Amino acid sequence: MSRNLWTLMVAAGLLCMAAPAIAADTAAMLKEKRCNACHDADKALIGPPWKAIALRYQADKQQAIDALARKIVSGGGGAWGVVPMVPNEHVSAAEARELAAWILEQAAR
Amino acid sequence: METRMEDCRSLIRQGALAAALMLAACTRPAGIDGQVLDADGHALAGAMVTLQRGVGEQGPSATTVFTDAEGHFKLPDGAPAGQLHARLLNYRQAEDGTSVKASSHGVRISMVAEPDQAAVAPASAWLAGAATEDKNRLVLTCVSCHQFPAPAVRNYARLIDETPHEDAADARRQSWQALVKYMNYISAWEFGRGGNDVEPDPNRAYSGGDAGPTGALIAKVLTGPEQHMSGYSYGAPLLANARTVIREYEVPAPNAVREAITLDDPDTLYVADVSSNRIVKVNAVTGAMQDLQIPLDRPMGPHTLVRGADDTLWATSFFHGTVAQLDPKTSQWQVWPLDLGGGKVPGVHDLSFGYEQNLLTDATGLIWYSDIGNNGVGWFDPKTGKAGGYPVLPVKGRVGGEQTYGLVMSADRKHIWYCQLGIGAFGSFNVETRKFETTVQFEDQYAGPRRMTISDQDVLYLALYGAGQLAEYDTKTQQMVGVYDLPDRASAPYSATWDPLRKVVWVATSNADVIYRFNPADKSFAVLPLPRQNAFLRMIQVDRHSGELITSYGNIVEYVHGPRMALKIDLGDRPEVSP
Repeated sequence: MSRNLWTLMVAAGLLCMAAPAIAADTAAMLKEKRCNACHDADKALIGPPWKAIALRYQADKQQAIDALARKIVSGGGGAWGVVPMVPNEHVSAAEARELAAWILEQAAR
Repeated sequence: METRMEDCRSLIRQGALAAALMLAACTRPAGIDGQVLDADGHALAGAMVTLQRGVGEQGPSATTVFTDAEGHFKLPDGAPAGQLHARLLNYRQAEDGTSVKASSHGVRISMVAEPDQAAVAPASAWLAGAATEDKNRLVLTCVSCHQFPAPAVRNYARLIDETPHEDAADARRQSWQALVKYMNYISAWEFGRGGNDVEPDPNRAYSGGDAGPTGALIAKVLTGPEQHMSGYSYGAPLLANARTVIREYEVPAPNAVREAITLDDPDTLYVADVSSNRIVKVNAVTGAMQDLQIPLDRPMGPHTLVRGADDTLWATSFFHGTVAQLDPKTSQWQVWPLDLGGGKVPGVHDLSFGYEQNLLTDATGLIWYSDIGNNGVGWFDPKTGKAGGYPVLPVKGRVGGEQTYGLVMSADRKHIWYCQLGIGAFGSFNVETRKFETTVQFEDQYAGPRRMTISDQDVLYLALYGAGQLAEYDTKTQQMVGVYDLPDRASAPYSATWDPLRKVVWVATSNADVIYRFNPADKSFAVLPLPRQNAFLRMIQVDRHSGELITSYGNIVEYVHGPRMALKIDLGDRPEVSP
């Protein structure tokens, strides 16, 4: 086994280990911050599904993280119809960026 | 020799002067006083001046006084260092705050005219233009949990307005319906903390009611961004004077303050924290606090507090139908988990009390309660722990929303009077015959009688939450004496309290940041403004020693911000009122 392949396997293993950990943390945060009241992975509830949001903003993820994080904290509308998102003051700016990054990962799921 | 004598006299004179100056400096009383002026230097009367206690200082979290006719104010002796803030309708403070030391005399606070009242007007101001029926329904539905429209609600109105749309009315309707669904989810979660409720579901009607009609109603009433306000006035004479002092106490987190009362000592407050199993004991002078844990292995959520005739503390529970009694002398608790049979648990809201606001039992020693969970009245025997209940008889034409809420006992201890919040009715129950005797309906189903009181003449006073009125009903003649409009009909009067010292009725509001005083002699109202927005009041107790009013800001909904504090209000009307 070449060293590169070993490195790749270790890296892949770490990624595999890391991914569920992030998902578990994020899932807990989604519940704790009551995001589930309006959003689901695939279904439209009060707001659009996370997968639909992710698919819309794949082109420029960095800019999307900024915009989504801002919307999570301050609320606002315009992208998904006439109903604005309610501000969530229980989410910090750092948490909002973490959630936004996670949402953008949902396109491939 | 002569010169020496003169020098000596001069020295004595100088020494005397220095001593006099030192004495004056030493004897000048410590304290904080000053004057509130407008931009032109004119005195502002009736302004609230609030001292926010500095970090590490002792005393109340905040202390508020009012300016006199010349704009002068004086904080009570011993007031600590902190920040001074002034508050007055139609004005704003020129600076964010004024830092003061414990001894600061002649402090000048400058205010500038501010026609936009958005920062000082209460939530009720935004409902002034609503049709009466719409307003009553909205208050009854929304203000049970939070002020309406609270700043967070108005912020959402702004977002709706800013979101691109073609049909504004449709956009508002859709948006508010979505928000009510969200609120239902949040409230199901918040109120389900006791483990006795369903999983949160935004499609289930919960505290916000059915999202369809509730959202449509909000859309009908809030038709703009709701960011600017003008023209609001208190609508009644100010009852505060330069001796009035409002002391506020914030308890440590989790600080879901529900109610507060005093027992035998006017300077010791007992504050219910509905988010936990504790009562917080507050030293009103130093601000020191002590947790008194209720010995229960499941959530209780102390809720309503009643003083025992023996100066013990009685608490009812938000969860699991429990009543607890504290002996403040020993700090010992006695706890009764009530069972109506077959595991049926009552939702105990109010315990029977009389015109002195003390807990009353019937002649056999039973304590009576309103059962909000089963729309009934009930009893329990503190000697045995046994409990029972009677469902309130249906009220003709009033189906849906029945909840037995307030409850009082007549002086002869033979009758209890209860009110039904959601159906605009109240009635009596004979505790000897165990029969319901009287039912009275208000014209409006959404009138919303909430917490009630009874006078020393057995006259009932009912706070009509939805209607913004006070009802006066003579239980002896069984006649409605009158139903009186409050100065602000959207004020959501939560409770009425008979004041046995002053022979007046105090009305605590949930939506107007004020307390009203009703004088039964001439049917007049006066108003006491409170020093902050979102002053979501519940019960008022009159301390029987000092005559002070004890109350609380009971904002328990985390997602709608607001103060959570206990209050002790010296009206400044002594010595006219001597307990």
